[in-house]
Amino acid sequence: MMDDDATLVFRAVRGDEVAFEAIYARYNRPVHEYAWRMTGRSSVAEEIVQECFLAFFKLAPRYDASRARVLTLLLTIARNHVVKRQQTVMAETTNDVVAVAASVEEDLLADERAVAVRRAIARLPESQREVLVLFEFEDLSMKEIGAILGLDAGAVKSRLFRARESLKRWLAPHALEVTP
Amino acid sequence: MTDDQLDDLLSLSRAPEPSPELERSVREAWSRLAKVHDSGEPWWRRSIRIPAWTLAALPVILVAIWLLQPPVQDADGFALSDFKPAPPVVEIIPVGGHHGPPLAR
Repeated sequence: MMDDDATLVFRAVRGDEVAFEAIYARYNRPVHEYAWRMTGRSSVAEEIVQECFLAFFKLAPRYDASRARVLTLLLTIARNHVVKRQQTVMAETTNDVVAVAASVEEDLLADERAVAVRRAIARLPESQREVLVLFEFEDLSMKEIGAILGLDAGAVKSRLFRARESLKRWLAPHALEVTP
Repeated sequence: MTDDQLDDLLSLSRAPEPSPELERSVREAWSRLAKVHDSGEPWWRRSIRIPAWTLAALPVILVAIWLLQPPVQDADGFALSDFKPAPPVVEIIPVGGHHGPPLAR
């Protein structure tokens, strides 16, 4: 049986390596994916993941499972790091640069449509991109996204709608045929 | 494009895998923190470090503060200790038969 987050955090804080591994295995990919989609660079995303887990384990002794899920907490920390980086290195974080950076890593991908999707996501304004990433790729609820971004559910819904509308427009030539 | 078509396209987009070095560096950072957390001290002692001598001297400090405190004053600024017991009121009752105004000499 899988242990719940609160138990794992409690054990990890007391030096239980198995608990640490379970937490890391459960959450490193979603946090990395969020950081990568927001920055467009694997190296930066990995730095953010590292800083994020470090900050989380510092807070962990006071972790209260009734207030937030571990994933929500990690993504909140990750978002703060992304914003901080974007404020300090403003020139490197324009959407164009994110798109170009993403395209370098896309060389590994054979599917032309996957490349187009990634570029389209990178083209979105940051406020829409973070909502789309948290909803589509992290499977968070509107309420959880609102808590991370400090928005109400209506604002989250509206940003998500605008992001999806832009993607539909840009990706129309790549639409997959719907099988009956 | 329909919503379903967009969802299908979004599902094609895969993020790269984090490197194994990342896990190693996160594990090292956790290991250092776990040692700190596992020192047996409660979190509030780690957050607020109070020197042991301060705790030992606390009763002496409290008694000194109590002895040095200024006298309690009332709203007019008089210390309560300034009030001495009032002298007894002595009523002089004339003795004798004359109860009218003082007699003119």
